[in-house]
Amino acid sequence: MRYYKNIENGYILAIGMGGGGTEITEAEYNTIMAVIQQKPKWENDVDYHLKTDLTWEPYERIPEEPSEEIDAEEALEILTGGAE
Amino acid sequence: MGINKVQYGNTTLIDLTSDTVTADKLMQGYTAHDRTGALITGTATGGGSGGNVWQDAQGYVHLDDEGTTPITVESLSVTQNGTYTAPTGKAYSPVTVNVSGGGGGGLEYETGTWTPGEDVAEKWISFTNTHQDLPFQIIISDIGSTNPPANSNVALIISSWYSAFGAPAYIGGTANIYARAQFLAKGASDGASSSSGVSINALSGSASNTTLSFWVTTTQFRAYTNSTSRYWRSGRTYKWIAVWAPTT
Repeated sequence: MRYYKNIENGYILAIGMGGGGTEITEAEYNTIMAVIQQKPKWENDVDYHLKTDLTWEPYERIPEEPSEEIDAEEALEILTGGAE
Repeated sequence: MGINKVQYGNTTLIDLTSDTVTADKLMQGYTAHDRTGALITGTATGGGSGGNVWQDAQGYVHLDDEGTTPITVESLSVTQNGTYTAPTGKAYSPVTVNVSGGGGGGLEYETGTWTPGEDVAEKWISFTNTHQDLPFQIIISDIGSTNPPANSNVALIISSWYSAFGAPAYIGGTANIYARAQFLAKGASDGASSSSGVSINALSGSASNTTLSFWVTTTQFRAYTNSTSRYWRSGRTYKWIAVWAPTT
């Protein structure tokens, strides 16, 4: 099985098994997984990025209100197949 | 004259009179006493088309004890689905069964997982370079974590989901998932060309663009600006399986 990690802007966004990303060893996968499972809880508008050195970096994150509806502009984009 | 029956009073101690062993049924070199009580030496060396495989008078099948004439063993390969009857009269090892792809009527598939380090709204699923077309179905499931957050279960099926203009198409699921397909050049990192819409015409692109990836996202068109409160949750593991029908 192939193991990989996704890194963006110095943060580990995800690890996984299969294709894609940067290949890592099973040992590194297990190490990162253990760190992810111990992520600090998101509370008081503070969440955390996982840095490549496997430490957590706090950042401000305000919960968004769930929205099931799309606005008119987005509806038009869907109809015309437009991208961002 | 051998002794074939021994009685003590009215009690029979030994009675060979009904035994059926004969020299020709006893394996060569072995000794026994026949129904007359005479000492016999076996002469059987085998029989029938089975070579040194032979059946004795009691119906038991014997192999050559010396192993000097081993049974011929042939390899066998099965490439068709359904019931297959191997030719009789032979032994087979190894037996190889391969009915996937290659026109054999089976399906090709790949599986993988991802575990976000932080909540993310989009993710690339990448396949090997062996597939020349879109998978006809992808299933993504949330297989949990040790600390599952609320409202994050995802179990969805992607099929016939892509749009003609490459924009992520709504595919439903409890997390409102969108996805699109894209070829990335060999060696390109995930999401390397995600900033613009990609047409499915790219599937007939150049031979160098053969890494097929899927972008699964909780947003519609804004790859890096989440517009909902739904994410691929950190700490959870998502598993996917993609299935292809054989092309030849």
